[in-house]
Amino acid sequence: MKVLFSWLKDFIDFDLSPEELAEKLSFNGIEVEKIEKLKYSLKNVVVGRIKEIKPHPKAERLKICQVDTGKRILKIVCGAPNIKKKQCVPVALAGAILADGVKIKKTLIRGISSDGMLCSARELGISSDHSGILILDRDAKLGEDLIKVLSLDDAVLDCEVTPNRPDCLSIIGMAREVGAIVGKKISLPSFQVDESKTPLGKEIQVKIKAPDLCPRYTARLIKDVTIEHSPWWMQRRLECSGVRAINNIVDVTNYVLLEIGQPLHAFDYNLLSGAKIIVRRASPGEICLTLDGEERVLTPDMLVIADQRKSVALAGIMGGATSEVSERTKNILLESAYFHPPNVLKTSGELGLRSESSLRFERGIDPNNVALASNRAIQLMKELGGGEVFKGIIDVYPKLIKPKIISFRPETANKILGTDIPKREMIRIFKSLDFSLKDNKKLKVAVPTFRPDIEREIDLIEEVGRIYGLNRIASTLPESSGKIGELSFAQRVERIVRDSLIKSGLSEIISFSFSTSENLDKLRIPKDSPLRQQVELKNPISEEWSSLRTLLLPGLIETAKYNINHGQNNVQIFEIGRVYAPAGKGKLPEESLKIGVLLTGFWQSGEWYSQEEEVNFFDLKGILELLMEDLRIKNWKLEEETYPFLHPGKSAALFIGKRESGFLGEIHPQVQLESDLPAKIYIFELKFDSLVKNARLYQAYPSIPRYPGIDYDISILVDKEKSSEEIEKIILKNGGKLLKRVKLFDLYSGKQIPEHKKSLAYRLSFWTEERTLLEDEVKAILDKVIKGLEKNLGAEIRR
Amino acid sequence: MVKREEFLSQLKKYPNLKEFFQQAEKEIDKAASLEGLEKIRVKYLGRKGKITEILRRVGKLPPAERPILGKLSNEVRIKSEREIRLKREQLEKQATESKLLAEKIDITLPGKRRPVGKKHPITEVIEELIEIFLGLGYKVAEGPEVELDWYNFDALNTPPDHPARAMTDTFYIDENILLRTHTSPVQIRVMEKNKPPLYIISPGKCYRHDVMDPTHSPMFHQIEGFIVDKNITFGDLKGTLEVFARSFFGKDRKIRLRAHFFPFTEPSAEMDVSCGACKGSGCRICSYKGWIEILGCGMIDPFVFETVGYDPEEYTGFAFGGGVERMAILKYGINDIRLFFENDLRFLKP
Repeated sequence: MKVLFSWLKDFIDFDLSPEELAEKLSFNGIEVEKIEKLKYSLKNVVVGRIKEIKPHPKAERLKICQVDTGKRILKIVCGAPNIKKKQCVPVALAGAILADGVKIKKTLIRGISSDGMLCSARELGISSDHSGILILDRDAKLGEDLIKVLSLDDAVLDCEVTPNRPDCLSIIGMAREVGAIVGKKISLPSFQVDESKTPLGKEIQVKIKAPDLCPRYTARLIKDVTIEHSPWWMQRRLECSGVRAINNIVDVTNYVLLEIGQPLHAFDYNLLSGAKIIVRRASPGEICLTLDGEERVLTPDMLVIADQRKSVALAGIMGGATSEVSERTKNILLESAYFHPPNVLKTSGELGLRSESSLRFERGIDPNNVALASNRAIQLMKELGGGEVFKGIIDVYPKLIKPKIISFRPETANKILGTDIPKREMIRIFKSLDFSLKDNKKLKVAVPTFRPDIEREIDLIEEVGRIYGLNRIASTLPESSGKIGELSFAQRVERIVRDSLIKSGLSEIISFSFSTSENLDKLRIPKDSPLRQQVELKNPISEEWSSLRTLLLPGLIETAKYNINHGQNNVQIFEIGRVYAPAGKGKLPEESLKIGVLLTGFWQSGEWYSQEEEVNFFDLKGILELLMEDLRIKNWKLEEETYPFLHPGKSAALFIGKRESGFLGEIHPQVQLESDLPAKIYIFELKFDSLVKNARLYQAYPSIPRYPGIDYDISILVDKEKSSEEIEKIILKNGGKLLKRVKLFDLYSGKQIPEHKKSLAYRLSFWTEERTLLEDEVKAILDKVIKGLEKNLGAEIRR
Repeated sequence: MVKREEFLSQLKKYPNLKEFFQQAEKEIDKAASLEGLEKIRVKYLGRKGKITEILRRVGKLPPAERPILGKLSNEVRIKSEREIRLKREQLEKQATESKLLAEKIDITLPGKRRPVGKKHPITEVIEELIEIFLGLGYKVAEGPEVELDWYNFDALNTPPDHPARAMTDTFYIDENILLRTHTSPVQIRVMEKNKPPLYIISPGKCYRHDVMDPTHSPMFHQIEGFIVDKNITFGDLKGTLEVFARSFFGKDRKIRLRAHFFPFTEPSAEMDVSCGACKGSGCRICSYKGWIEILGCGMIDPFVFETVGYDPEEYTGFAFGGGVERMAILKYGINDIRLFFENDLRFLKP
């Protein structure tokens, strides 16, 4: 809501600068987002009175005026049609600068010298009116600077009005807020109507067929108006408030909407058929041609204003084109009504049609200001457009909406606010807001109907806090009642996971939860896979973001791609985020946390010291091993498994206990190729809940041997197909209690080794807590290990 | 030990011994390397060395001469050995020094870095906020990101015909299921399942139908805090927010509250923190206001308590919530919300 600073002063007298007012309003709940200072570059434009008008000898349309500016009489040539003797007008003296930057100097106009220029509103920059010279008040002081006379030193406060405060969508409402701030009451003029003697009779009848949606409807009639431009001051106020001036009648409805907050509609009376206004629900499929030229198809939930034949307006939202006020309009029917807020909200939402009018109706205007606003508007119409106002107003208001009476306990207010505000101060606050107190002993507060937001005691408490000043309330902390702040087990596990992955050199990413089935196509996920069961959005932002993800993998790959495209080829990242699976219609999807890791490129490259080392499967597995170690999970293993998106020879499923808890491997070369990725990609994705179920936060520390142990290295030549796991198993099985650690330290195949064979070198560490081991006993064990390997794997052993 | 002059005069009677002693002294002094020094040692004190020879011969002398020459030649040996030792130490020291000098490196070369990872800045902020509130006795709660409209709106005093509901751009899954637009539904979920006192902090992802631009993202993070207990006041809310602002933004920061409107708090306010860049005098960062809007807050509306079956006459509480991205932007001087989700490693690992 744009609030013209000077307009406020019509209703409240206060002594604050626009900046001071903006700050106070902001603290009180109406945030002023911007102060627009109205700067007028006018210079040397003063008030003058036309003393004499003579025709120009050489030009028929020009006139020569003698203008009194107090000090001097000037001779000015002017061509405007509207000037008359004795009028006060703006005079641009020689040396004046007008709004558009034009400099005025003494000049010859068709042979007659002119000392200056008389100005239109547009030339002064105060409105777009250029139909003639701006005529000032008769009692304007001659020679006075025009900026002062027209109080052009002004500002527009751009206010954010929260949806609970429809009353503040008007100058009067804002003035009332200002009044509460400065401790003064607003002064409302009595909008007297200059009515004719002809009473409003059979010219119009109003019938409300849907009183639930229209609790009040009023109509007034004015005839024989002249449609023309509004005066400059009205145009200026409208334009400063962001409303385009159209003609006097439409401008008046907008002016009163801004001033009082009551949306109005002016019908061209002659274009209504039958002398009837019917407020009714639309019939199914009924069409209403609205002012914006659109044909609106209506449903029976929507309220229309109709004449005898058709709908002529969408109630509270927009008028119809068929009865629009035009230059030819003579007689006006003025509607001022109160419509049911939720219905206006619903209709404007369904039609996608929002207007200044619907904005106010949907939030709730004051039902008891309806007639007042009508009187104000009809009087302005008469003043600006002439004509004759029929006597009386049709006011259909079957059930009076009364102020709410709310019980209020000052001690409860202080208890909730944490304050010690005296009761009399609270009463003062209520009165400053125009609330009245019904019973001073029990404090029953009567809340005027312009405040639909105040319904309960707590709402009144808020008003007390707001006007008293929230920043004046002393800061305290809740009394400690031995409460303990702590993370849950799962939350601690999540932190361990994150720390472990960061320790492994991975950086955390956060990618969007949105996805699309195309991402799954790229990963060659089969059509019948449960991963294809995606939560679909009804109103996605784009096709690529039309559903919720079932895998973290696409986000990780996208991130790798983004970085590679930006010259970052070494990507080692992880994400901890949710995936979503539908749980059936009307049920919330199942959300589960997953951990995704992606490696590609080199750990380090382009460093002056580094030996570049490209990441591979075992980097990935090492990260997983450390993660399991940090979580103290022991019962995990990898099993060979194939996935459509992973390299069939370099992929595995992770099992924790018996539960399949994730997958890891190298991205299938085909997928890599199709995704335009330059290097091999390694990924794993784990289920967080499996980790939580098996993790432990701590474990006992191992003791270290006090007695020296013995290490033996053995080299094993076996068939290539034998797995490291098999070999280790046999070593451990035969190694007995004294064999404490088996560590692979070399792996070789190639030259000097038969084809289909590989050589693995292990270090076997023996020790015991009890004593120093004897060489012979260890050798005996070693023999057993070797025999086991030979027998079970057909291995050749070299010590 | 006798003085050198005296000792030399004692040696007068044994010119060989004196000569060897003085020769050895001179050579030792001139020795330039450890190898040279060793040769000198062998020459005089080795098994066949000149001084050793004399010593060896002492036994063959007449018994009367033995003690004197024995003593003197032994002393010559000891003195020469000492000279050699001192010289060796000196030479060794020199050798070490020149060796170290040869090992000199360019300490201005860049250091060797281990590949390390980093937390996402959003996580950094969330964890820091959690630490602050753990210290105040809060627990962390989480809720679903896909929510029933009842939790997201209705239970928070925002019925379908509420203008505030129409103002929020929401992603829908179906008629009653949506992506939560804020973390506040967690309030309802926690209250439904627990009895007061409650001290809760709840971070998480939220979604709004906004197109990406430097200040908007369809997915973002919020952090919600709320407490429900007996005798909780608006003053407690203010005090708590002060603790938060000072520990998160800095000890010198001030806060102020501006009355505002939220359907589920009453009284409601927005909290500003004094601008850290200009100390409140106004600059580009705070749009020349001196203050920066951080979060929304208020006393929990009695409607919410009634919805979950708490007696608003017995319990009061407050709630606050704000955007994590915004806090990160302000704290780390980030200028574009899109950076958080582009995940450019140059941003994540500066």
